[in-house]
This record gives sequence, C-alpha cells and structure tokens, in this order.
Amino acid sequence: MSALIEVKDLCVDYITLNGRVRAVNNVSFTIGEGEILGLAGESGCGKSTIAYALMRLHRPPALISGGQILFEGKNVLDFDDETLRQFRWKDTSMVFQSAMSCLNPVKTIEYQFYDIFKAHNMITNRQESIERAKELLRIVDIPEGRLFDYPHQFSGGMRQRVVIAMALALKPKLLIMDEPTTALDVVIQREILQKVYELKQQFNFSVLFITHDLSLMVEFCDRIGIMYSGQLVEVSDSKAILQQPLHPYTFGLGNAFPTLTGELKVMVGIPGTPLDLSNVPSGCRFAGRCFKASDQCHRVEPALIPQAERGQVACHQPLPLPALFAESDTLLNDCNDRLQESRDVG
Amino acid sequence: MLAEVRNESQWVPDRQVTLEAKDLTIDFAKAKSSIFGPRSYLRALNSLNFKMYGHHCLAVVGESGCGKSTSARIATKIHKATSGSISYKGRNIDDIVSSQELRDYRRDVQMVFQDPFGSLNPLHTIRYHLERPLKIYFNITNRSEMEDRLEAILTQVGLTPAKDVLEKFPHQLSGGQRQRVFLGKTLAIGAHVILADEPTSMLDVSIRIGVLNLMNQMKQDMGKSFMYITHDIATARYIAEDTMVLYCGHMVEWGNTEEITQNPQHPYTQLLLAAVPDPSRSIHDKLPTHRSLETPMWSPESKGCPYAARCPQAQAACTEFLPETKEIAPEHFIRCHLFV
Ligand SMILES: Nc1ncnc2c1ncn2[C@@H]1O[C@H](COP(=O)(O)OP(=O)(O)OP(=O)(O)O)[C@@H](O)[C@H]1O
Ligand SMILES: Nc1ncnc2c1ncn2[C@@H]1O[C@H](COP(=O)(O)OP(=O)(O)OP(=O)(O)O)[C@@H](O)[C@H]1O
Ligand code: SF4
Ligand SMILES: [Mg+2]
Ligand SMILES: [Mg+2]
Repeated sequence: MSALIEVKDLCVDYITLNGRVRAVNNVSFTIGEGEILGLAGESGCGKSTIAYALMRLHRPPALISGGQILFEGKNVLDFDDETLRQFRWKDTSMVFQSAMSCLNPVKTIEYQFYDIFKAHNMITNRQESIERAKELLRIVDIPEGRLFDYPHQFSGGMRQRVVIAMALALKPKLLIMDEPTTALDVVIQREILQKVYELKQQFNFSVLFITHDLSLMVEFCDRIGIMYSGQLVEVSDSKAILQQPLHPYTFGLGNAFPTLTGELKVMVGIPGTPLDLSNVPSGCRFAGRCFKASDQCHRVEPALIPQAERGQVACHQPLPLPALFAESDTLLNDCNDRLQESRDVG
Repeated sequence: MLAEVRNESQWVPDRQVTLEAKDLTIDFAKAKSSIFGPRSYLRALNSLNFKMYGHHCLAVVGESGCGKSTSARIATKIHKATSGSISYKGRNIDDIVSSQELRDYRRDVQMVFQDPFGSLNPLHTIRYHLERPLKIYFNITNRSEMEDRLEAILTQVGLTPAKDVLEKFPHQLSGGQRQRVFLGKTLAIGAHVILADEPTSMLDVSIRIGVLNLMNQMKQDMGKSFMYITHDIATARYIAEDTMVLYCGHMVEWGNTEEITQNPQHPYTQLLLAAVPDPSRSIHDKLPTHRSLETPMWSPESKGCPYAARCPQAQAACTEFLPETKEIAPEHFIRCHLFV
C-alpha cells in the first residue's frame, strides 16, 4: 500500500495570552491508499487540531510551527491559494460532529449540491447537477425524491448522511471524519459507517477517523494511532491495540472500556488527570500517571520507534506480548495498587 | 468487586423496594397547528412498570427521545404523570405535598446530570457545596464535626487530600472530579435514591470508569439505589443488575442485565444490541433486518406495538394491540406478539 499522505514531525501551536501552547508536538504518521487510520486519545490531546491542520483549515490562534504534510509527495504547507483550494475540495474533504448543522437551513439540498459543483466547474448546467446529486443521495440510501427538501425536513441521521454525500461529491482521495457520528444513535451510527466502508471499498479513498469510542474505532479502522498530550505514543494494527498494547497508556485505555460481550471484569481506568499543555514536564509526558515509570522516564523523552513485528511505540519500557507477561492479571493488580495510592489528587 | 455485586445472596435479603412505577403514563401537549384546531398530545411514556431496590442499580437504555429522562423527571416531581403512579417506600409521590414531606422526599431522591459543570455553582467553592446540605439536613453546626464529615465524604468519593479540594472552585477541577463532587453532594444530602441521567457521557474514557466504580461502591457499600440512564449499553452491563429497554415510551424488554444483553429476544433489542460497537465485532457485521424508518411519535390514540412499523417480523396483531407482558425466562420480561 503506497502512502497517500505522509505527515512528518508536525507541530501546531496555539498562541494564547499566556504564551504559546504546543497542542501537536512532532507527530509523524502515514495513511496508505484505501487505508482507514484512526486517531484516539483523551479530550484535548490534539486530534481535531491535526485534522484541521492536514487540510490547512486551522485558524488563528492556531499556527503550524513545524514539519511537513506530504500529499502524494507534495508538501501541502507550500501550496499557493489556488492549489490549496483545489486540494481542499477535490483531494480531501471533511465531515465533523456538528456537520449537520453546517447545512444551509434556507436552501434546498439540491441547491447546496449545485453550489458545490458550480464552484468547482464540475457541471455545465443545472440538470447535470441534479442528476449527479441524485446519484450521490442514492449512494447514501436517501430516496432521490427528497432532493428538493430543506435540511429541517430530514432527521439528524439523514442530515449527517447528506453531509457525507456532499463530502463525497468531488470524489476525494482522503476523507477526514472527526467524530462524525457522536451525536447519533448506535443503529444509525452503524448504518452510516457501514455505508462509508462500502463506498471506500468501491472508490478506494483513504480515511482519517477520529472518535472517542475505542470499540468503534477497533471495528472500523485498519490501524490506530493513540495520542497522549499532543504526541503520538503508539501506532498499531487495530486488532492489536486492545489485545497486545505496547504503551502503558494504551493498556490503561483498554482497561477503562467495559465491553458488551466477553467476560465481566473490574476495570481500573488510569489514575490522575491529563497534562496541562502550558506546563509540560521533562521526560515522558505520561510518566506521572504510568504504573511502569522509572527514573529514566522522568528524565528522557522516548521517541516513537518501531517494535519488531508489532507497531510503533514511544515508551522506554514497552509492554511485552500478553503471552509473555506471565499473567496479565499481575499487571492489572499492579495497576490497581498504583491507583489506590494515587487516587485522583485534587 | 463486580463478582461481589453479582453474588445474589449478598443483596437479595435486604432487597428493599425504593421507587416503584405502576402503569406510569405521561402525555405532553403538542403545539397546536391553529388556534382553533384541537389539542393533540404526545404520549412520551406508556404504562411503565418497574421497581428499584436498595443496593441495586437499574439501567434505562434506548435511543434518543425514547423517554429515559422523562421517567426520572417524573420521579423527581418535575413532571406529573398523566395516569399511573410512582411510589416511594410504598407511598404515592403525588400524595407528598406538605412542605416537611416534600423536603424529606427531595432529600431522599436526588438527580445527577450529564453536565457536572452546570450542576455546580461556579461562584462557590466545593466546601460551600457540601457544607450547605450538611447544615440544612443534618443541622451540623459544630466546626470540628463538620470538618470530619467533609473529609469523610471527599474520601468516600476519592477526592484527596480533602483539605485542598474543599477550597477549590468547580472550574479548577476536571470533569470527572466535578462529577465526584456532585456524587459527594448527594452523600452530604443523605440521598437514598440516585437518578443518574447520563452521568458519564461527557467524561473521558480514562476518567469515566472511575466514576462508574464510585457509583458501584456507593450502591454496594452504602446501599444506595441507582437508576442509570444511558446510551452506552456496555457501561450499563458493567454496573446495573437490571436493565430496561425503552422504545418510543414503551418498555419492550427488561429484567436481569446479563440475560438482556447476552440473550436479547425482542426484535428491537436485538437490533439495538447488534449495533453497539464492540471490539469483537467488525463493521461488516450485518444488522438484523429492519425497516429504516423514523421512530413513530406515539399519541394517546396510537395502537399496536410501537415497533411494528420497523419490525420485519410484524404480524397482523402487531398493528392492532399492545402486546401483553410475558416472562420468557426467570427475570426476563418482554412485550412482543412473537412471545404469546
Ligand atoms: N483556540 C484555541 N486556543 C487555545 N488553545 C486551544 C484552542 N483550540 C484548542 N486548544 C487546545 O489545544 C489542545 C488540543 O485540542 P483539540 O481540539 O485538537 O483536542 P481533541 O483531541 O480534538 O479533543 P476532543 O476529543 O475534546 O475533541 C487542547 O489542549 C486545547 O485546549
Ligand atoms: N417538557 C416537555 N414537553 C413536551 N415534550 C417533551 C417534554 N419533555 C420531553 N418531551 C418529549 O418526550 C419524549 C421523551 O423525551 P426524553 O427527554 O425523556 O427522551 P430521552 O430518552 O431522555 O432522550 P435523550 O437520549 O435524547 O436524552 C421526546 O419525544 C421529547 O421530545
Ligand atoms: S516511557 Fe515510561 S512513563 Fe512513559 S509510558 Fe513508557 S513506561 Fe510509562
Ligand atoms: Mg476534537
Ligand atoms: Mg435524556
């Protein structure tokens, strides 16, 4: 699978009254053609900041302060205005959580499709626009007869599907989805994601998928990147993330997620709270909450490096394969003890 | 901890009914289409029957708008049932009217909301939030007794060192910590019944589980009676002994949580559970067939099973009569014409 997009050492800062805050710090990853990459991590770890930066849709006070974003080998950060405009619609498009509220309430769906096509010289006349729009609605399972309806005549799930149809209007190569279904019920959520998956199989676009629901992420993605405090701490195959985590933080996340099936067991979560980005300690950013932290961890920052036959991890003491930690229960107990000691300090 | 909760012999003997709903029904007036037109009504809940117990948690699940919050709002006397009733320790709550009784009831039955920020006053310290109820409900005026109680409560909800936490303002705490403070407040008030409406849906994963564990502990060790309203059925499985599945204001399937989640029988529950994300599943797994229709609006005139319009197995009776309740396995109830 060749890389469609390659992000190298990306840094994004927010300029605040109290100085610069680095929300994304030296993040590198690739997304292959037709691949679905997930980004997971606690609120505020920088997922949306990355999503916006990839399309250069970030707005002040955000500032890309370093790195490269290579799209088919060309650096997006060097694009002039016209190239950028083309790139934003034709090559990539984005669906976000509140996307359904981005539909213009006083224009019909048909008109909004027409607007998109016209802006990109995709059509020569209105009739052609209507035909194309109908085809797109059909793709997301909305009866074409609803084309001339206004947004408020659709349910939330249907509106989100309309937005996805619009995102696909110009056949993008990369689709960025930032919590696209968070506000929806699980049945609609699954229907929409199944649809996106089918379309991806058909048109072979790549997807960057962001959600706080790790179970959903494991189901939908090929690979998953785990972020902590503005950094990527692990990238692994999605099935391995929960079964054979490399990073202690990933392990902690996996033990904070009750599942619908399988054995019922006590979960422990992760002690402590996320870092304040304006006051980042030296060494590993997770050290203060980590049950494996050693002296070295508090001093030296670990780099993201590949592990033999497994993913990449930024940790001085990556976890062994579960078969190797004699009893993963011992690890849990360890974790539990630490939790008792350091129970949420105020 | 879980294993202990599930050990029936532990809690059955003192299984005391706290809140009980009988044929609970509520209609809301819809906006009139014209001033002269007849008033029409939305039936938000239709004939709910459930019991809550001490040392026990009842989960209420179902899609948005199915009536989950409304049932808790009736229990806290925000809304009044159109017919049917809720009773507390055997007494119909509609009969609780004198100010003394109302005060006692409001102390005993507390709600916890989704947004822990909205429910704490940003202008006051944590100390203020916890001291007030201790003064009002327990008449504690002695300084050192007060300090002891405050410390005990904060320790119980896992916020230590208590001295530091007490002087903080809500915005200085994380979402999970604020939710712990709020649960601490229900302890300070001395509530027995806690109606938690999506208490963790705004919290991060790593923090969420701590709050669920705390609720579990309050239930187990202090005998609190919980209602847990949620979209997240996996967490319902984690803390609730009983679960009821609502669809369009109706209980369609209810009973022992493990039984409901591992062996769902109602066509709607089967659809709902098949859609819940789970690491052992794949996005390709097909959902049980259903007709992708919008959920109907129930009205007092509506008849039949509320799921009939979407149900692939609907029969003639389904559009005519509301199905009777049937116990299909011990502690497993269902309302569906396929099971009569
Ligand atoms: N406009 C802004 N000014 C200053 N700081 C900001 C701004 N927007 C975001 N940040 C900070 O940047 C960090 C990353 O934010 P971001 O929105 O990317 O997080 P996220 O991972 O998408 O979180 P969530 O899961 O809550 O959506 C956060 O710590 C946030 O406080
Ligand atoms: N005060 C009210 N007046 C009129 N209709 C109401 C009122 N409160 C609730 N409803 C309606 O009653 C139904 C049930 O609402 P409720 O808030 O209980 O749903 P819910 O299951 O809690 O949904 P969610 O998961 O979105 O919180 C909805 O159709 C809602 O629109
Ligand atoms: S580097 Fe050290 S502190 Fe950081 S996650 Fe790994 S073991 Fe924990
Ligand atoms: Mg975000
Ligand atoms: Mg609600």
